[in-house]
Amino acid sequence: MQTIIVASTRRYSGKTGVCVALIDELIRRGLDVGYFKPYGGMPTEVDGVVTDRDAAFINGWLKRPAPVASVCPIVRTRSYVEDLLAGDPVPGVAEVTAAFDVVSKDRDVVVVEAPSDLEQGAGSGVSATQLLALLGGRVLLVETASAAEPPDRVLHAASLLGSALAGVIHNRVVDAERPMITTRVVPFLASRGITSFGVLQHDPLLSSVTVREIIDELGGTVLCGEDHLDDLVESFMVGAMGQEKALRFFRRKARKAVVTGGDRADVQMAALETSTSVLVLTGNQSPSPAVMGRACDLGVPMVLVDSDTLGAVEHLDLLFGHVRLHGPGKADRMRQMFSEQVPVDALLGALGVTQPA
Amino acid sequence: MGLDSLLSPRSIAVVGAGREPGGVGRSVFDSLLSARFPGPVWPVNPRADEVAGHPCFADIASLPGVPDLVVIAVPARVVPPVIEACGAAGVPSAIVLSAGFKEAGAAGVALERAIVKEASEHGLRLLGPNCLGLIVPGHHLNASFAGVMPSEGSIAVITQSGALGTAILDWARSRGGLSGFVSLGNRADLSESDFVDAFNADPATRVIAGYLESIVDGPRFVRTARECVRTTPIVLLKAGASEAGARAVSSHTGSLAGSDAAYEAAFAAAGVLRARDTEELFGMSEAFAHQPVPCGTGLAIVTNAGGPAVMATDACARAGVALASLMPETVDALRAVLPPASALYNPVDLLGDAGPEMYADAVRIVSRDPGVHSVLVLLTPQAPTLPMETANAVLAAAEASKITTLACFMGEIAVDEARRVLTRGGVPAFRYPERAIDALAGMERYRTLSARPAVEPPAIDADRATVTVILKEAREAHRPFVLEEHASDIARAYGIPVPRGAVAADRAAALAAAHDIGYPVALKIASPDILHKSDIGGIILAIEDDATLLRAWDTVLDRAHRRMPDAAIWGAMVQQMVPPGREVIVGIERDPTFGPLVMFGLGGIYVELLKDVTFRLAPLDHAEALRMIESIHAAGLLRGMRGAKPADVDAVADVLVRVSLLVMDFPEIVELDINPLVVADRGLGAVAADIRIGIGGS
Repeated sequence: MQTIIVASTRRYSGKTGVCVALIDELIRRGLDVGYFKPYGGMPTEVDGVVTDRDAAFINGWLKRPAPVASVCPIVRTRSYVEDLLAGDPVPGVAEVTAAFDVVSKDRDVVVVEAPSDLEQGAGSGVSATQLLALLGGRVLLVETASAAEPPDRVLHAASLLGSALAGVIHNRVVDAERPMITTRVVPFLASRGITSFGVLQHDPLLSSVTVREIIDELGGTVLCGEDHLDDLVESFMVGAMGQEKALRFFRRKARKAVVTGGDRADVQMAALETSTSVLVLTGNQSPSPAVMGRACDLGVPMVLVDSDTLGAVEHLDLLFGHVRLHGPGKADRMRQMFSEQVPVDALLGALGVTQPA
Repeated sequence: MGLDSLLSPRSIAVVGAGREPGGVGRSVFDSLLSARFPGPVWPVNPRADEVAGHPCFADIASLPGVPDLVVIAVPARVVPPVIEACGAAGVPSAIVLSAGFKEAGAAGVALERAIVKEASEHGLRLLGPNCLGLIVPGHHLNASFAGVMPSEGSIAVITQSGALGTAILDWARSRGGLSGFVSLGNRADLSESDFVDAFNADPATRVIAGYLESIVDGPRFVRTARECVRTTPIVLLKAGASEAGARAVSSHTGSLAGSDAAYEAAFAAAGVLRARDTEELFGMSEAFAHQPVPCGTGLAIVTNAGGPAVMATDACARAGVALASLMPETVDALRAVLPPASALYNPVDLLGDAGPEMYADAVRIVSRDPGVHSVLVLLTPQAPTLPMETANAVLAAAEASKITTLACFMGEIAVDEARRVLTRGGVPAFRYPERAIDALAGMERYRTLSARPAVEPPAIDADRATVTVILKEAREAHRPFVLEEHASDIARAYGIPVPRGAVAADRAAALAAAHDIGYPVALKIASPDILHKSDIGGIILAIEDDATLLRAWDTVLDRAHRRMPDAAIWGAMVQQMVPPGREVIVGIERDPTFGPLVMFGLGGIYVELLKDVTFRLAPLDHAEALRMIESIHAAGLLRGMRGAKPADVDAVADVLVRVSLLVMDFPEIVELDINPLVVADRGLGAVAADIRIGIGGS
């Protein structure tokens, strides 16, 4: 059995997506693959078991899912943090080892998704480097690089991981930085002995959320457009300007959420004139029936929320920072990008995966 | 004309006419009868055998004939089956008075869509829903629940606000009457353009007056109105000009008020006169309704009061109305009939004791002067003044003179009745001289507008294929803005001069570009996220050598990273230095109603601080582009002043025309800014030193 640890030096680098794509490639090569996430930060309940949302999603999607209780032995709930700080017994290294035994039983490969950055989980003994010591295997780094500074974090991680580091995938690279990453950063890392296995571009679809997820996050009342709650939202914009400026501004982004006051009929109409997936109306002020009629006609949901605009924006910032793969088509898009742009066989070789003849 | 069955029906059915007086349907039925509509009027109501002594019918199918017009006044939810029945029976037109449609929210939207679909399947034209109805006094048609019937006149009124409509009708009763009145309501089918067309074809209509908060189909309206104003003037009050007003429009009608600049540009293109307020709307409409359009400039003022004459003269200067210089023969003739102390030059002051005959004589004499094309009669009620007699004398003189005559009788109690007599008699009478002058200015503007030749957009050589490829590539890469160097390529493809340049991703590329172009060069940060490059210190000019370029490279990129850490940065643009000149700005706005507008202004503080910019609908021809340049306050700076040579305005006009054609050809361009366009002295051209092109999110 080969263990692959997918780690990152920074949160929101897109590890989960890479795990999904990697598992898919392994399955296609006829291997029995397991998925393990020792430390999860997004609590949810599945069959009465507290687990991590993404972990449950990926495990459920495997041909032969592991028992839910074993997939993510440590879930960082508020209680977990309090218990840990108080010195009360909490799941730790022993539980992780035991759960890993369950998940890895009779598998060819287990893909282990490390905590969000290199530090997370250290308090429980399960940071990425601790996991490597605990479970063995090889490490794939998923990084969001920038042309503005040297790849110091990757070099630092390499010094910690040593020979276990198989290489790096540069993920969520924006259009403008791509040439610099490809022509400068990749060769530079190679000169330091670090192999890059692909430069994957930032894809608005992957960082999108659904209207429903926004409503779940903000709470609130859906006033219209109930049929469009599964539509994707790629970004959000705040409408506090006059109508003319709003139009110019709103045209720059497609499939967006627009956050504005319920009394700002002009901004709402400007948003409806452009590509908008949902109107979030703050301050619990109901919109005019005429505007609502127009939104309804266009099939754009209007959601009335209690919080003020600033509060709503803070929530949305968090929501958009974390990419989820649950949305329709997202996992497929990630797999497609991966198979097109990553030399998979070379990567699997570096990760120590023996492919069936 | 397509709306005959609506505007001059032969038979009418009223669905929802109640047994008892009161209620909307019954009110319409009663109005139709009391207006003595000549054809049959059939009440339709399944719960009544007769209405006001007329046999009532259970439904459309039971009527003795197919009505030309069906007026519907039943609750919104039962309107769809009525429309269906009208369609099935072959009714050609209907007015839906009922509210509870689009303006009322989601359920209403669905209802409105349903009736439009049903109607269009049967070729049934709809007015409304949610409207006050329609009145055509000349056809004894009062299909409204306004409760009043104006007399026959020559003003056709189109209003988006039914409530304002009732005020207009009341006003019309005290003044000259109307040729038509349409309350547009939600404009689910018929809209302002249809009625502009219809009233233009109506011989009884001399002017179309309207109140609008938005326009349904901008390009169609501009086309229709432009055609109309060749023969019939249009005066519109467009509300929602302020930010707060725009919000109120959106909230009220569920539509965008649209940018005021766009309406100004569209009305200018269409030749529509814009009234600033209700009083101006009424005043201008009355002037057109009762008086001929002046066939030249040159106003003579006849007054019994010096102060108001001075005020009128000031108003003339503000509104661009020229005062006539009276011929010596005219002055002599005036001297012969006026008291010795009178002022004989324009304004002609008859003095405080002027009687009716003196007014009549003076009006007759100045009207004969070949340099006079309009007359304003001013009066204040002084002790010897006889307002009513003077009004009648002025009416007689104006009738004889055949030239444009307006009156301003200032005051209230002493002159109110005289004003009414004047207006009813065909000489519109105003309370204040400024209002009279504004109306006259509108008429003079109309004279020019109605004579404008049709404009064809000029043909230019443009490499459309290159632009298509660039825009496609940007869209596929999900870029809201095209890359800097591609923006230059687009400009070049349309013949807009741009300096040579290239975006460099690193120092080596920057040096290579500089060597290729030759020093001196400019270095500008290249980022789709940084719109105001100079604000963040992202531009360094006049770089003379490699060492300076490398220092500039670090400076520009560091500043960008520091000031805008989240911006995506492509590198920096190395550009040929543009020789200094006058800096102007050319841009576009894409209006949701009217499409692309071209913007022009002087650079720097003139745009940012003084808002000295002007907009025109695209496409532009060269002459219109030159007028556009002339129309900004600071145009004098381009003409050359205090020793400066004139700038190459022809080159600027050429860029304006080309930009206008570019954005017409490529609707996907939603933003375009040339800032600055550096203009050299006359004959030496203009260069787009910086150009940004946005295609929006995709």
